Amino acid sequence: MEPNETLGQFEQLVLTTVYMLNGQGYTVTICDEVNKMTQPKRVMVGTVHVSLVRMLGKGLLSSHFANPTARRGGKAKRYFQVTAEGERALRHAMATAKLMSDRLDGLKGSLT
Amino acid sequence: MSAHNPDTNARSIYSWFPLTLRRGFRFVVKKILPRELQHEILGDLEEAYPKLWDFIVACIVSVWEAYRLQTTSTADKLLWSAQLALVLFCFAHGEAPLALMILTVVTLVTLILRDAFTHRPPASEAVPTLPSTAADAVEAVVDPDEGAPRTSLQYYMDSAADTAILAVTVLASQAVTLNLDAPLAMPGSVLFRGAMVFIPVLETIRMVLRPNPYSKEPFKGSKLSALAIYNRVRLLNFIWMVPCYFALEHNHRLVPRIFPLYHPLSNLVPLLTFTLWVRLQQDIDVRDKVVITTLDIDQDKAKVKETPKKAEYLFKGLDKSHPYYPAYVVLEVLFFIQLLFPVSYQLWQWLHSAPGHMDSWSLLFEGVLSMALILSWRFVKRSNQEAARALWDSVKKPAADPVT
Repeated sequence: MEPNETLGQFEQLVLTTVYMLNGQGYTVTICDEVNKMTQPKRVMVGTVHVSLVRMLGKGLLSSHFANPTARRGGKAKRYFQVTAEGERALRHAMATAKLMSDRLDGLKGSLT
Repeated sequence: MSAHNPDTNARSIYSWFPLTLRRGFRFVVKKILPRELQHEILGDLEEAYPKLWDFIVACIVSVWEAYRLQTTSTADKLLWSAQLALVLFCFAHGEAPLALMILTVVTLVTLILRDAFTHRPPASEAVPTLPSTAADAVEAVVDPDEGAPRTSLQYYMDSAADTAILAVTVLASQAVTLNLDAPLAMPGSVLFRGAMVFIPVLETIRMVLRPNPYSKEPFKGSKLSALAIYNRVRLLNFIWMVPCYFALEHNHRLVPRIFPLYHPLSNLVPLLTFTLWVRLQQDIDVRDKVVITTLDIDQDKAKVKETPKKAEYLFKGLDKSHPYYPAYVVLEVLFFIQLLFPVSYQLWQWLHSAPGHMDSWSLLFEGVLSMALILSWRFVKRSNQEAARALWDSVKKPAADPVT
C-alpha cells in the first residue's frame, strides 16, 4: 500500500535510526546515531528534534516520556518509536532507493 | 590557607565564569524558544553538549530550527491575508509609503513570531508529570485540538499578551524610526487613529481565525439532555440574532447613497442572504414531514419522529462533500461582508478625518457590537452543530425498537 507521507532524505535517516533503536531511542541517542551515518557532516540535536516532532505530527512516530533526570536539568527524556504508518513510509523509501540503485547499476559504465 | 592560594582562586574563577555564562545563556534561550518545545529541547541540549561553546552553538541552531518548524505549522494564508489587509486599511491613508512598509513588516513579523511561540505542536500533549515511583514511561496522550492552547485561560492570556506585545512593538518601531530618520516615521495622528482601530480589530480577527480550546465541542462534558441542549441553543440563537438585526437595521443608514436602489433594500438584502444560508442547510424532506401525535401513538415513537425535525431548525452546517457547500460558504461570507460594510465605511472616513462621518462614540458602539457579533459567531455555529448532533444521537439510541 502506498504511504500517505513521503520522506525527505534527512527524515529517512532519522526514521531509520529510530527504527534501529527499537523504542529505546531519545533525541540525544538518535542524534548520535544519525551523526555516525552522516560523517563528517555533524547534525545538531535541535535539527533532529524538529525532524522528530514533524514526523510525530505526520503520524510516522509515536512517543512516550520517561522520568525527569538531574543530568538533563530536571527535564524528561522522550522516547520515540516507529508506527505502522512510519514502517510503511520507510519500506516505500527503501523500495524507491533499491529501484534507483538497480537502474543505476544498469548504467554503471556511463557513471564511471 | 587554601582560600588565599592564588591557584585555587584562579581555578574557581575559571569554573565559575563558564557556568554562569551557561546558566545565563540557558535562561535567555528558555525565554526565546517556542513555549511547547522549550522543556524538551533544553533537556536534550543540557545532556548532549557539556562544553560551553558547543552548547551556545547548539542553542542558536535549536532556536532557529524550532521557529522554522513552528512557522511552517502555523502558516495560515487566510489569517495572514486578513492581517495584511487590516494594516493597509488602518495605516494606508498616511500617504507615507515607506513608513507604511516599515510598520507592515514589523507588525506581521511580530505576529508570525508570536504565533510560532504560542503554537502547540500536535504531538506535544504528553506532559511528563509522573512521580518518581511510577512506571518508567507513560503513553503519549492523543492531541484532539491541534494548535490550540491547553486551556481557555491560556487562550485568553495569550490573546491579551498578543495585544500588549503588538502595541509595544508598534510604538517601539515608531520611536526607533523617529530617532533614525524622522521623515520615515508614520505621522502622529495617522498612527494614533490607525492603532485605535488596528489593535482591537486585529485581536478580533485573530481570535476568530486561530484555533482555540473550546471551539470544537461547546457542550463537552455536559450532562444536559439533547432536548435541553436544543432549547438552550435556540435561546442562544435568539440572543445572537437580536443585536445582529439591530446592527443591520441601524447600519444601513450609515452608508451614503452610492447606488440609487441601495438604501431602500440595504437592510433586506443581508436578511435574505442569512435566510438563504439557513435554508441551504435544511433537509426539506425531514423538516416538512408531518408527525401525527394522536393518543394512540406511542409517545416515544412520536418523539423519535419529531426529533430530526428539530435539528433542521438549527444552523447545523453542511458537509464539504455536499453539492451546496460552496454556496453555503459564499452566502456566509457575503452576509458578514454586508454586516460589516457600513461600519468599515464609517471607520475609513474616521481614519481619514473626513467630514460627515458619525461621531466617535457612536462609531465605537457600532464597532464593538460588530466585533462582539463576529467573535461570538463561531461559538453560536459550533453550539448549533453540537445540538443537532445531540438530537440525532438521541434518536439513534432507541434504534433497537424501530419506528414503524
